[in-house]
Amino acid sequence: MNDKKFTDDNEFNELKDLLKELPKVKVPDNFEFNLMTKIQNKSFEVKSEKKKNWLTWSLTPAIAFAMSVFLIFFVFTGAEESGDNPWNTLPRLMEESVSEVETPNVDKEQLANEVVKKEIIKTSNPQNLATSNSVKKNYPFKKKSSINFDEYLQSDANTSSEAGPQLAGSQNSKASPFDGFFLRQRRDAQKRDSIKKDKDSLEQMEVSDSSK
Amino acid sequence: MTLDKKLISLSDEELIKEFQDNNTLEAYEILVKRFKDPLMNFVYRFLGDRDISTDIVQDTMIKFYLKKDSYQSIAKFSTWIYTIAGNLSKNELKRRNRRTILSISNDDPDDYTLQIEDKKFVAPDRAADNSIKGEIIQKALLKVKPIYREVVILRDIEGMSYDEISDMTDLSIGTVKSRINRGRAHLQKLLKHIY
Repeated sequence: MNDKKFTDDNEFNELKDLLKELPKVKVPDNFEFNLMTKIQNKSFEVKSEKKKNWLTWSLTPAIAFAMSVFLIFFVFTGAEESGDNPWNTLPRLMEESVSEVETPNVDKEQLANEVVKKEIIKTSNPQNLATSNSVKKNYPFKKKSSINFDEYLQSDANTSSEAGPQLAGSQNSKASPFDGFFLRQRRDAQKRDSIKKDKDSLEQMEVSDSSK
Repeated sequence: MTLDKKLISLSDEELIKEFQDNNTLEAYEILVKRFKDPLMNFVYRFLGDRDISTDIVQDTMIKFYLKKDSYQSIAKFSTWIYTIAGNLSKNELKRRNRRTILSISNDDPDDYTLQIEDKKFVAPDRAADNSIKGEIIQKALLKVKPIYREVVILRDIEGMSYDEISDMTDLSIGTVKSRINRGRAHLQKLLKHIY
């Protein structure tokens, strides 16, 4: 049935006649000459296939996808982490890293100021004097190599002749453990005045007793 | 001379055999002379561009020269060489579609000359009429889908049998007939104002 249907050529007789009447197209006159020249010169570049290479159009989307993935993972993420790139930064000291870990967001100067403020508040309040020793621990001086300046001046060693001024670099100079000052809060003026008054009154009493 | 005369009398299959066995260039040249114009007509009707068609026919002949050993004597030589030309034409069509070049016009002045040459023994007014008619038919052919266009050209313009077309296109005879019918129907619709 199908064959009969499809071989029913009479249906298109006019069309077939029309197509048969079409003029025959011929190759140019120099066709054979060009062809044989190519063959003799062995220049066999097939024009219709010369654009075929490994980068065919069918592979283009895959290559584009791979390139974009490469850019995202290696170029952009690499730029963000460039600060931590060990090849671009100098090695850091362990102390710095440790101190940053302990006090990550506090400036050293700010921390020192806070400690001094706390000390001032505690020394101004007599109730807190008892706990002043614990505050001293926070001073930025080495405990062994620092001294109380008032005690040092009043000590016997300091009043002796050997404790006079020494020239730097002299052989007799005694190596001093002193390596810095620390602030000391002066006593309250009212308290000092009251002590003075008490002392004066005691002296007057003694004078009056002796005169009697 | 005697060799050429002897070769001219040989069939296509005998000539390709001679070319394969003895690498006789004269046999190759005779086959080129026999098939250059039919192939040109086929490729031109399929693509509608004279220069590109010339290049494709030349590429076909070069492929034939380079890959002569891939021909097997079980098939007709004409089927084999038309298959090469058809494949190259389809590749060209795909490439043109990718580039979205849709210039299907046939404004090449050479074509007018060619068509007038073919009708040189006909009165000029009739030749002009045939030329216009040929142009219209060519434009209509190019509007038919390539899968139908190919088989219609092979059957109705080149005059091939269904078996040959089936071998060339690697389709069953039923599919070939079906496609020819569909192509003709579409073409008839496009050309109904001519006849």
